Amino acid sequence: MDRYQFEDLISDYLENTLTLAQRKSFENYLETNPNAKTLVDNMRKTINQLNAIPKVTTSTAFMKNLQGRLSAERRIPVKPPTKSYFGFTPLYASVMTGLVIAFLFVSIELFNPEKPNVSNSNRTLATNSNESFIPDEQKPFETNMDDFADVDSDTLNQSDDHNKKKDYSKQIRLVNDK
Amino acid sequence: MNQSSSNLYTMPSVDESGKFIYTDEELIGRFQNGDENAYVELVRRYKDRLINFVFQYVSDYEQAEDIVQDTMIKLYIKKHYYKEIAKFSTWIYTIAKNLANTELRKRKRRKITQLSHMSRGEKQIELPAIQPDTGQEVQNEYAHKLIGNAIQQLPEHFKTVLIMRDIQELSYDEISNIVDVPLGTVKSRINRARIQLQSELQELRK
Repeated sequence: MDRYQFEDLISDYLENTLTLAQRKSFENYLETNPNAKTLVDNMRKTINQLNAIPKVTTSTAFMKNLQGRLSAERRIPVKPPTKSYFGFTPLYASVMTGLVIAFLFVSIELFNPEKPNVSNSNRTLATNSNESFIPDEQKPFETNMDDFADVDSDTLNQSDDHNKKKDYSKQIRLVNDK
Repeated sequence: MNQSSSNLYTMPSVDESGKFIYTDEELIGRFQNGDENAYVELVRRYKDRLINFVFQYVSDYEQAEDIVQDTMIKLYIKKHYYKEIAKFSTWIYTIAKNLANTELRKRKRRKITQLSHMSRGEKQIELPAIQPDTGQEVQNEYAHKLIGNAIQQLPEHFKTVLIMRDIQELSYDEISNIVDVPLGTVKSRINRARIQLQSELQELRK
């Protein structure tokens, strides 16, 4: 038996609930360890002293005093219990509901892909603002819209005649053609 | 209460074999449904047990009685807070213990304030006034005071079970029910509490 096993069994030894083998082993340990024996003796003495502490009872006026105090308590108006929804009072419950709805609405507005994209409009604004802030000499080149007029008209014609069959035979010239 | 006090002694609490007719849980159930006699019966069952317990905490009879009264008032006002998932005894002892601890904290604060207003020379350490070399009765009183001080030094969970076992002399089963802890844990706690109490007593005797 080691010190830990001995300490675990002290109360059982004092209350006489050890088996015969355990008791023998415990007493052998006590014989070889005088400090352990002193501890057990002191503990037995303390328990006896604790048991000897006189029991107190309530005074004869206890019930009368309690009645008086209860009568006083009864005179204090009791608040009717308020209803609660998931632990919230009606006021807090409505505020919380409003906040949740507002949060959901804002979330849908921000992240709904079918609606006009906010990021596109931001980009347009950004482009416009950049244009206005870049000085003329720093601009890479001047854009002349007339240069693009022919191209635009061609593109437009092409798009208009998109479904028409085109004949390129007269325009194709082979190397040996004169 | 006046109405119930007229019926106070008419409600039978034990049967012919001396067993309680209603369990504590049945009584609190009846009280929750408006039967004030059940409340009175609960008070009668617990007032002495609680004062014995609380007195070991606060070491002052009048204060202990006030705390037990506060506990009973709380039981009356907050009866609906009790739910049948716990034992009634666990609930009522917890209320009493918390009230006793609040009182101890208040006392500690008051002591600190008083000490902080004293000069260094005025500060004294409180020791039992009786010396252990007089008569047997006086020696016992001295020993009880010393043990009482040592108990105050124990951690909460040790103090509770030690008082219940060695002063109130409750069985392990009863303690296990009251503190709502398995029997093995209760036994182990009591054993550890007794060992720690010895070392606290050694410190105090130095």
